[in-house]
Amino acid sequence: MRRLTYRLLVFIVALCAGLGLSVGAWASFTHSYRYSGNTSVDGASANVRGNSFNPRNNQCVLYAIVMRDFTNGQAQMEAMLPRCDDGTTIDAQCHNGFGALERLTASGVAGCDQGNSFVNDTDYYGWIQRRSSSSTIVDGGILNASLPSGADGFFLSDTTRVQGWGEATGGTACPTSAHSGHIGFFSKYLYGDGWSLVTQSNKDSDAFGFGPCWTVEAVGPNGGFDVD
Amino acid sequence: MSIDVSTRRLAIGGLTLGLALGAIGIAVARGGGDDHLAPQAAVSDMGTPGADASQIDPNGPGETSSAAIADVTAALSDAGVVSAAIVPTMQGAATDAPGVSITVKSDAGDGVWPLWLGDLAQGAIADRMRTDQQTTNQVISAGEIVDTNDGKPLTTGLGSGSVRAGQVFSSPSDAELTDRVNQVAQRFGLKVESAEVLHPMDSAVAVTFVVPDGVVDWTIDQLRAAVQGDPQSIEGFYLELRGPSGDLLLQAAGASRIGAGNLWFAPGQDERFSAVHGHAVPEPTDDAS
Repeated sequence: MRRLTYRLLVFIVALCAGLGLSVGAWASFTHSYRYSGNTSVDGASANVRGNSFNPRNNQCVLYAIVMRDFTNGQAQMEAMLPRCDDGTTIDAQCHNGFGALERLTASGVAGCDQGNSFVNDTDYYGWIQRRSSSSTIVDGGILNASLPSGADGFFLSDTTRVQGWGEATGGTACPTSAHSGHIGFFSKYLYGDGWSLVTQSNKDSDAFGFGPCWTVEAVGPNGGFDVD
Repeated sequence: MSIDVSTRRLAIGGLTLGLALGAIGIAVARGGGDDHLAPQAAVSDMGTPGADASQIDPNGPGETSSAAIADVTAALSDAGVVSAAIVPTMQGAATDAPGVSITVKSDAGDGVWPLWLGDLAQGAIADRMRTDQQTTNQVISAGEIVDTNDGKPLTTGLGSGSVRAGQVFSSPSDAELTDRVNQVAQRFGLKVESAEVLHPMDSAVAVTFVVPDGVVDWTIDQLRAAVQGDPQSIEGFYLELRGPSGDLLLQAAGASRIGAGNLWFAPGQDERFSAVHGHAVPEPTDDAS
């Protein structure tokens, strides 16, 4: 009887450890976004506005534009307006209330550069653009900060899309109260065609751990849309 | 129905003005073909640069670029910085200031350690060259590292944040900083595997902690803040967390002079240490617009 109890105990401990590891493998975050129908873009830009944020403990809430390489690992460039819980930072350095650029490299490093401060209900111009028509480097800028992408990624034959989103990263639930933003003049860049408004876009959400937290609204006449 | 002349003129005038405004609107919305700037409306607020230090020096030392580079590469040579050189222009940078290319011998490619060394060096070179510029990226617009990368040199851009130039960090003595690290380890239930104090301009700290298995009741930001001190007294930090068997769990690094941070984590360790970061998303599904 004692041996049976012991084996049961070992089984329960192992089960809990396995469950813990499985749950721990997913970071908690959610995005709700609009993305370009075009799958071969060379840049993105928008006037990004955050109207309300209200992050939870250990959480940042942000509104951003993104250029993402869906072919090559994690390569991604993001220009954002983040607000974070007191003491919480993005990538250990970018602080609450300052614009930021973040890159995800193919080797798995998340890096950020912090821009100037921002206030709610105000538009801030963010841009992301392939360095030249033959370059695999993508540059980004917002609020007087700049950041290039990593050495690998954004190859010319890769699938690349532009996205505009509301995101909550960290924490365990959606923001405590109101959370809304606006992505204005949502635009794409194509070498040969130049800049143009994203006229064909779809909406989607991802939710890991909690969410979705936002509704993505229809595109207005100037290419802008709300996430609320 | 008849329309009098004045009404017709008014209508034509209105139509002309409307067409002109419409054309301008379309031009603004489409932007130039190869113009760097995309369609945008007026942005009225450009914000202000932040600072991690509580004290700002209104004027910098104004060193020449060669003197600043010599000072910084000498200060960081033991950590792996080999050399640095001014680059006249940096594509994609936020300002027209020159950039800097920094050669690092780490054999870690574009990993957190060589990126951190580059960020530290770029910031210290900028603040040593500074006279009265408001932000460090007005002195050095951006940077890049060239890592020796085990015989296959790899170049990675650094960019630059927009933060106050001339931040003054109180930089306690190396002994005091090492003592602080040991106290932090005790408070957080960690073991110090190694601790190193670097001096790019003031002080920066690189620590490897060993973390016991299991759930922790602190976050990486709390650990970072404890190592930085309150008020923050160092210009940079590199925190490496390893498990009891030596497995690498997480690396977090920051350089306050250019507002740059880098983060790497083994699967699930970001959640364990509440390390907040942006997320790559799966390829979206084709939902209706």
